[in-house]
Amino acid sequence: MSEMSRATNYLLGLTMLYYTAPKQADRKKNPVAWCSSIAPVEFLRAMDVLPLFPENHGALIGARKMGVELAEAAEMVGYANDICSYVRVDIGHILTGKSPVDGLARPDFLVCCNNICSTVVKWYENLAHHFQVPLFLLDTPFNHGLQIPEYSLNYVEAQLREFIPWLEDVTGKKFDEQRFKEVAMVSKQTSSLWRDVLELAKHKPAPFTAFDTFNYMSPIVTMRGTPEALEYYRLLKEELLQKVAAGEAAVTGEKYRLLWNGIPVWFAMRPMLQLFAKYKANLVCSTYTNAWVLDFDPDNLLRSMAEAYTAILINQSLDLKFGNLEKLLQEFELDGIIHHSNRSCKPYCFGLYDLSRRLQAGSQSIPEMIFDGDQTDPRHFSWAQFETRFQSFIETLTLSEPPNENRR
Amino acid sequence: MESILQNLLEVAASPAKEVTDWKQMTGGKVVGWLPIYVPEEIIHAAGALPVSLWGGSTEIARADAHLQGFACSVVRAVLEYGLKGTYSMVDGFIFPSTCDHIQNTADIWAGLFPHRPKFDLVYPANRQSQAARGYLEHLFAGLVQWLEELTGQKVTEDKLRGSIRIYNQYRALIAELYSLRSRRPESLSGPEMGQIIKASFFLEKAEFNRRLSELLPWLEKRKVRPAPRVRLVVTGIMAEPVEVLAILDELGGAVVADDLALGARILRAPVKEELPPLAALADRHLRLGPCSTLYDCRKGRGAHLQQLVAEHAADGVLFLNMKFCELEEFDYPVLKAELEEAGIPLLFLEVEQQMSALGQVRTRLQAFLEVLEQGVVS
Repeated sequence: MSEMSRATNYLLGLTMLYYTAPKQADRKKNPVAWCSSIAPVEFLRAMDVLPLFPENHGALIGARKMGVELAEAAEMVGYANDICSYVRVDIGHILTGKSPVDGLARPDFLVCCNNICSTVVKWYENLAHHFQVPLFLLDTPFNHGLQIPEYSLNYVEAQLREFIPWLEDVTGKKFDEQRFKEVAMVSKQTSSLWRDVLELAKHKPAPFTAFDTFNYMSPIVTMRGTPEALEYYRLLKEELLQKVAAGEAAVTGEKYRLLWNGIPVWFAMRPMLQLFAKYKANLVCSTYTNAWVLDFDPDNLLRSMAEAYTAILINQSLDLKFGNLEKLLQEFELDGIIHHSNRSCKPYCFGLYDLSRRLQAGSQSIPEMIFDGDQTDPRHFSWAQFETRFQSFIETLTLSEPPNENRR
Repeated sequence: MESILQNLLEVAASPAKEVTDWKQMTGGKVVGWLPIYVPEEIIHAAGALPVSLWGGSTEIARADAHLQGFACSVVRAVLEYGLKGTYSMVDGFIFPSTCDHIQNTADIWAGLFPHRPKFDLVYPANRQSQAARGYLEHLFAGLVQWLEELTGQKVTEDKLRGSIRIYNQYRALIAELYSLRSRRPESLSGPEMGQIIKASFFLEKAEFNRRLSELLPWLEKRKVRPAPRVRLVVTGIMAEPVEVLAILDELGGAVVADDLALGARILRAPVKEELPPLAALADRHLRLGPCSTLYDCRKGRGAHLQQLVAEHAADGVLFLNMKFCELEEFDYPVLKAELEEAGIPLLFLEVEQQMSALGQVRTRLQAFLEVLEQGVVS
C-alpha cells in the first residue's frame, strides 16, 4: 500500500491529461464539448473532439469540499437551492472561475443526453444560453415497461444519424465512419473490462470497496473510447486479479457485504469508509458505477448504441430497477442495502420507498437503510444522523439470520 | 347569466361532484390526465370525459410513504388523492413525461394501482428531430388504441375531426376571454377568471363552449371592481392557491395576461383542421411553447414575456414558482437577467398547493405593487 500502484499512477496521468488537454487544444483540430455524463462520446472521439463532463467535475468539487461555496454563487444569481447540486456548483464555477482543477475549458458546443434525468436538459439549455454555443440533445424516451418499444429505438437511432451532420457542421470536419467504428469497439472493450473489474468484488473477501470504484470510474466516464482508458482498465484488472489471488481484503475481516444504491456523497467518502470498516462492513457494489457498462454490436452499430444509451437503468421502469437489485443481491451475495435519498437526484430518489417496500415483500427480505443526503451539497446532509442510522442498520444486520456465515 | 358564472365557479370548487354527475348521466368513462400536455381531443373522440388531475390543496399524509418531501406539491397531492379514493370515479389515467417528478410518480402509481388502466404518454423531447413527428403519431395511435379498449368505442377519423373542431372553438373562446381580461379587467375578479379556466378542465367541451359563449357578451358589460392600478403578467405552472389572486385584487392589481401551464400554455396553438387528425395533433405538439417543460435551447420564454408585457401594457411580471419545480426554477435566473435588462420589474413568489399561511405572500405582493405604482423601476 505504501508505494503507488501502476494503475493508480496511470489514472493520475489520465486525469491530468483529461483536464489540461482541452485547455491547450487548438480548437480547429480539437474542439471542446461539454457533455452530460452518459452521452454518446464515441462520435466525438472519432472526430477528435475533446469532451468534458461537468457532472464529473461536480463530483470533484464535492470531494474537495468546495460544494457550498460554489453552490452559493449560483444561488446568488437566482438558482434555487432545490436544483441539483451538480448544476449549482457548475454554474458557480463558471461565475467565479473557482475549481479544484482551475475550471473546465470553455466549450465550443454542448451534447446532452437525457437518459439520466430531465435536469440535464434544462442545465444544458442554460449553458447554451450562457456560452452562446450550439447544443445537441439526444432524447432517449423513458421506458415504463419491461422492454423498450421499437418505435422509441427508431427515434433514438434517427437522432444518432442526425448527430453526424450536426457534428460535421459545428466542427467543420468530416465524419470518418471507419474511425468511428474503431472508437466504438474500443469503447465496447473498455466497458467490458470495466464490468470485469466491478465483478471482481464478487470474490470473498472483496479486493476493493465501492468507494474505490468511485475513483476507478473516472476514465470510463470521461475517456471512454480512447486507447488510454482501455489501457487503464487493463492495468487495473491485472492488479485486482493479483489481489484476489493473494486473498487480499479491502476491509479486514469482511463480515457484511453491502450494496450502495445511489450517487456517492462525494464530500463524506472518507468518514463513511472508516465507519463501515469499523464494523467490518464493505460496500461491494453500487447501482451507480454499473451505469457505464455499455455494449455495442459492431454489425448493427447505431441501432445497438441507440439501445445501449436508452437502456441506462435510471431511464427504466421501477420493475426493471427492482429486477436489477434482486440480481445484484444474488450475484454479490449481499447482506444489506444502503439507499441514498439524494436531494439532488430526483429520478434516483422518487420510487426508492416503493423499491424498498418491494424488497421487503420479496422472497428474501434484506436489511436496508435509507438516508437523506446530497451528492455535493453538505447542507442537505447530516453526518450525525447518518452515523446513527448506520449503527442501527448494523444492529439489524447482526440480528438478521445468519449474516451469511454459512456461505463463507 | 349570473347563474352560468356561479355554476362554473362551483364546478371549479368541487369538480368531483360535476364529474360524477356527468358519469351518471351519460354512462361514459372518465379519463384523468396529469400536467401538462395531453391531446384531450382524442379522449373526447372516444366519448370519454377528459379531466385534469393537477393536485389540489389536500393535506399530505398517505403520499409521504411514497414520495419524499422534495417532490413537488402537485404529484404529492395526486398520489394522496389516489390513495384516499378521491379519484374513484376516474376510469383511466394518463401520465405524460413532463418532468422527473411525474415520470417517476407514474411508476409508483403503477405499483400501487396495478389494475387501474394507465397510459404513459412519453413525448419526444427532441422536437427538432425529423423523427419526432413519426414518433408522436405512433404515440398518439397507441393512445387511441388504449382509449378504444377502455371505452369500447371506436375512435373514427370523423369523430376525431369533430372533437378537434370543438377544441378549436374552445381555444378561440378562451382567447376571447383572455382578450376581455386585458381590455376590461374590471369584468371579472382574479379568482373568477382562474376558476372559469379551471372549470373548463372538468366539463365536456361542447357544453363548456355553449356556456362561455353565452357568458362573454354579458361579461363585456359587467363591472365587479374598479380598473386596476397595476397590470401584471403572471408566469408559472398554475396560479394556485387561488387566494393569491384574491390578494392581488384586494391590493388593486390585476393579471392581464398569463404564461401559466394551467392557462395560456395549454390553451394556445389551434389544431390545423386541414391535416389528417392524428398528424394534426402531432403537428400541434411540435408547435407548442415556449414552456419550461419543452426543450428550447434558445430560451425563448424571456422574449415571450417581454412581448406579453408590451401587448397588454403590463407594469410588471409575477413569477409564481411552484416549489420544487426544477424546470421552472431553471428558467428563472435567465428570465431575471433578461427582464432586468429590459427594465421590466419582476417578482419571484414561491407557492405550494398545500399552503395555508399567505401572510408573506401578501406582504411581498404589497411591496411589489407599491413599487410599481410609484413607477419606480429597479
